[in-house]
Amino acid sequence: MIEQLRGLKDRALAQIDEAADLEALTQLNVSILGRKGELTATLRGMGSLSPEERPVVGQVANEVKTAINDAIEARTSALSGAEQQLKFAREAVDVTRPGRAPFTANLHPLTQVVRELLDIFTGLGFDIAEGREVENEYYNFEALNIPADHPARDMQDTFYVAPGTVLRTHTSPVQVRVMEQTTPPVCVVAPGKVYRHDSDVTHSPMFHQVEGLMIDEGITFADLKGVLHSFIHSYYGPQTGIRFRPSFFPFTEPSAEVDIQCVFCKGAGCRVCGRTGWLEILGSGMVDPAVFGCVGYDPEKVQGFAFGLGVERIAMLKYGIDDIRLFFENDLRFLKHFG
Amino acid sequence: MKISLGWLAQYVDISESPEELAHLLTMAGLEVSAIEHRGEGIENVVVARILEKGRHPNADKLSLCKVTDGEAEYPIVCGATNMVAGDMVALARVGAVLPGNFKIKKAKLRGEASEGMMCSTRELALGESHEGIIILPPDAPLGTGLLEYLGLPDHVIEVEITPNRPDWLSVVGVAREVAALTGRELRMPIPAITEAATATPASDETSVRIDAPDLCHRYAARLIKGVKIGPSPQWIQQRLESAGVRPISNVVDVTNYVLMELGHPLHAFDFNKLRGKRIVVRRAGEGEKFTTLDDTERGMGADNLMIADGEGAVAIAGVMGGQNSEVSEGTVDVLLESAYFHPSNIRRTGKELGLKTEASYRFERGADIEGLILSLERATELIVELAGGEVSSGIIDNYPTVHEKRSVTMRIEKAQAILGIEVDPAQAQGYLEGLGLTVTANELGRITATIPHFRVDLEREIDLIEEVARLKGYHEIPATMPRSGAMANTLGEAYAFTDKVRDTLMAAGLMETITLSFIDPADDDRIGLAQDSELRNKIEISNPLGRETSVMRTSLLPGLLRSASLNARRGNRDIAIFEVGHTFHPEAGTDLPNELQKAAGLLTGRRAPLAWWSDNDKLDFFDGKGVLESTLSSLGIKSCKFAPTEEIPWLQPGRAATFTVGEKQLGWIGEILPDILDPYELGAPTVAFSFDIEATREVAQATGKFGGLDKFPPVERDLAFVVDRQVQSGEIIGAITGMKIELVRRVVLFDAFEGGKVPEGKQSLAFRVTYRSDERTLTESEVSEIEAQVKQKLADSFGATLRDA
Repeated sequence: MIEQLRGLKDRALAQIDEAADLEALTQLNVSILGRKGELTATLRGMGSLSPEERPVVGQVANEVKTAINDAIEARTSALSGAEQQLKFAREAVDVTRPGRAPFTANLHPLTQVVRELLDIFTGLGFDIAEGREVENEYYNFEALNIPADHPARDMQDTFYVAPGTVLRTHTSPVQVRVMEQTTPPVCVVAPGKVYRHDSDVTHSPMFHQVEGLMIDEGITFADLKGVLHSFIHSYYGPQTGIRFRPSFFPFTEPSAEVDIQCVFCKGAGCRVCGRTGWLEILGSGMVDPAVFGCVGYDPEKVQGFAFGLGVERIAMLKYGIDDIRLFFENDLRFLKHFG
Repeated sequence: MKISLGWLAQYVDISESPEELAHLLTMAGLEVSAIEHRGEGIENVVVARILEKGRHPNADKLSLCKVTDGEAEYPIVCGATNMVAGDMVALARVGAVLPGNFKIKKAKLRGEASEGMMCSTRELALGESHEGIIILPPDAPLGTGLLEYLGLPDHVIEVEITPNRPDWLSVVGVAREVAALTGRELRMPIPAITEAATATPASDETSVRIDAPDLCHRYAARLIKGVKIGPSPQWIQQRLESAGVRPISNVVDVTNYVLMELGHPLHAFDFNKLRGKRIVVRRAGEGEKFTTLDDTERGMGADNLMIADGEGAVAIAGVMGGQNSEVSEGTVDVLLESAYFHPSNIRRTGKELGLKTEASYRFERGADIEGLILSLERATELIVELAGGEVSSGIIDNYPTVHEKRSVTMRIEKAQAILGIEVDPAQAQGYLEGLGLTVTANELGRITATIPHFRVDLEREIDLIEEVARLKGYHEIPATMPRSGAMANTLGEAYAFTDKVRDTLMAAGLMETITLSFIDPADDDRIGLAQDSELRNKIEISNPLGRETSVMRTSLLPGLLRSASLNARRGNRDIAIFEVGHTFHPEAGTDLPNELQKAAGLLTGRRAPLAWWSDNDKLDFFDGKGVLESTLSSLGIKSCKFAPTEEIPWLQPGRAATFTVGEKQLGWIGEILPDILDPYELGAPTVAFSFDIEATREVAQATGKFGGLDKFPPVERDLAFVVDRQVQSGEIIGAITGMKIELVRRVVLFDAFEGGKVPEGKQSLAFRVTYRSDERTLTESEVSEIEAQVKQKLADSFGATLRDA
């Protein structure tokens, strides 16, 4: 019987070894180890053995069974690994093909710049205020200390829509309206569109400004410098040179133009900065007492500053754009550059 | 304004380089925008004489000259025609260098030798004139270097003068600033005039009457008799050229010279052309006609101030003289005017006439009413010097109400509060005195200054504070952070909402565009607006740049179509764009329009980019609607109703909808009519939509509290119906949800088709209905019961026949 078992084992192992696929193995498993299988049939003869022989044959039978089992398992795993590999090979893709992506888009470069600016100013504690674009002459001029027939009106070529009604030439009317509606302290930035009667490669009849206003007791020109320094240093980097230079705006006094060291030549002098090494980026000053008078603030109690900057100019400098009209013609190739 | 530094140095010492001086002035608020170097790069150009001028044998347009510099004679071929033999010229000899590193060499021009060049002002970069070569005065010294003769090289700075500082509009004005900034002495010109002892006093020969003392505050005049009109000497011509003024003749050049030197506009009349030999300053008659020096007849109004003689107008006061009294070659006697006119009146007149002159520019900013006598005397001196003549004795000076000098007090304490620095009273006083102010008091921390008449800008305490800061230098003021803060952030909510609109539209694949807010009135026709459409009612710009930008938009659509069109014409036909901005709607009873913040989008072309995975389908209505719905959903609009519309003229009926929340209409969406698309070179389908951002914000819901995940499982059942093609799926969903069955939680259209087995005129719609209870797990029979009700309802309402799902 032991011979029989050993013979069975050798045959079985050879067959398992030759099995070509998982299906053949499954059949072998059934025909050898199954209930009606060869091994089972052989072991049925155990009953005729003597009590001394039984444990010996039993042990051999177990060894044979284990060996066959192990062989089947090993062969199964070998075969299934190969089969999976075939499957994977069939399913392989060209990983260099582009992925399924929809059309993508981005915000207009001017919107992006406005956001960058507002992020800095809101971080400094400024609230955001907006205003109308068709404005009373009073809010655009008179309340800002720019009387009719004053040469200061020449600084801003104006579109009129009716006598006394204009397209706002700056975001400063927002200052006046905010001050009329609130009591100090006031601390706002006002982004928006403004309009001037002018059109060439550096002037668009419509452009964008961001205006700032801070009013409280004891706000000084030194504070104006501090706030603008921290704005410039966060936008252009902490090493950027800054200079404040006296200027004139009817609604501020003292007034200052603010220049930064040229971002192209780092102050050495180049075509962009007109060889001065400096770029003018914003206008500012202490709110003129006449403006406080118009909104009913007492200039003996409160003081404050205002500043304004041109968004297109900032964007043109930042991205090296030399024709302002590109912003408003909306060629998708241009817009996409800012994605 | 252009200032010659050579000229400037006549009044104040300058030890700085042009660049250093430019920096000094710029940092004091007198911005130098350019520095021009006159006479630089010129070598070996001398004063020469033309000995002979003959025809070039081989060229009609050239002449062949013989020219001498006193040492040798040179043959020179020249293209200019303005010279004759005997003329003195600027000769660039062989070996000379002209600006731009242009070297003069021996040459043969059309077969003739040419040894040098006779130069025009432009070739020497000394002026703009290129009409001919420079003809120097006959007394120019032969052989002298041209630069030496003209007092070159010189540097000219171009300064940008802010409107508050008319006192800077002259060489002396700038010199005064340099003196104040450097502490150096200012040397004012001191005119020396010898009045003719024998002549009749001026007041016996002429008079000045001011009929409009509100507009003419002072009128002074001098009479100079027996002048000889001719060209000015080179030094005056050079200075005028350096300031950008064209030399004309000695008397006129003197008035312009003094204008540039001292800043006060003067006018010279031909005395013998003044009828009645007198001056009357009066308002114009309504509709009065007057011909100005520039040969233009102008219609005057009653608020325009005129200078008249005994019979009629001879000048528009402060703006421009008239042809009838102009100084010309035959002028012998000159009446010289130096006056002060009311600034805003001059400005109005200039605006009305569209006439801006050097004179009006200064008068409207404010002239120096006290300084006008100095200017008058200076010009008188120079006229006698250059044109000869005798000065009649006495100045005519009609000055009805003397302008008192202002005095302004500055508190040191306030200066410190504004500037945020310590201000030393003695230092502040020094700054103000340096500017020519008389500081009359200094006690208890107060400085009182008397303001000279040329400083029209100094009226208030803050003006003096600014002067102190300016002279101290802004760089002396430290940068500090304000101690104010604690501001409520509420104003920004609307802005944040608008920004979110931009973000969601961008995330949906639409590129943001920005177009001009003013559009072409013809855009109304382009988008098919009815003649009586409210959208045709627009804010019109009175002074537009052009018709194409003459009205304020009432819709964002024309701008989007224009942007899309530009891209399509440039070959990009897959377009998905949006714009956020104001539209402007006139309101009765006010000039201020209602401004609405709107968002609008436009999509056309392929649904997906050209790619191996995409199938090149063109997008349609539902692509736009998907963008719109996801945007609205992100904005907190959870139950928006779309309804078909035929009211929107630019949309194709049947593919157009308005959408509302509750009773509030937010906007529209649809495919643009092909006829409208054609002129824009856009293909169909092109989908567009628009909505009112503020209206949307009002109905948007903030994200609420989270109610927890569902506790009991839902049951999903599908229902498929065949209904008439005209039935809108939204109506069916509305009918189901309108039954208000609590357990029906969600109805989704998941399939829709027509054709095939579906009969003509019908469509098949399949819905997935989700049933769920918050209290228990639903049973099959419960759900089936409800489903039967739903089916019945749909059969009743829409004649829906159930299809096997």
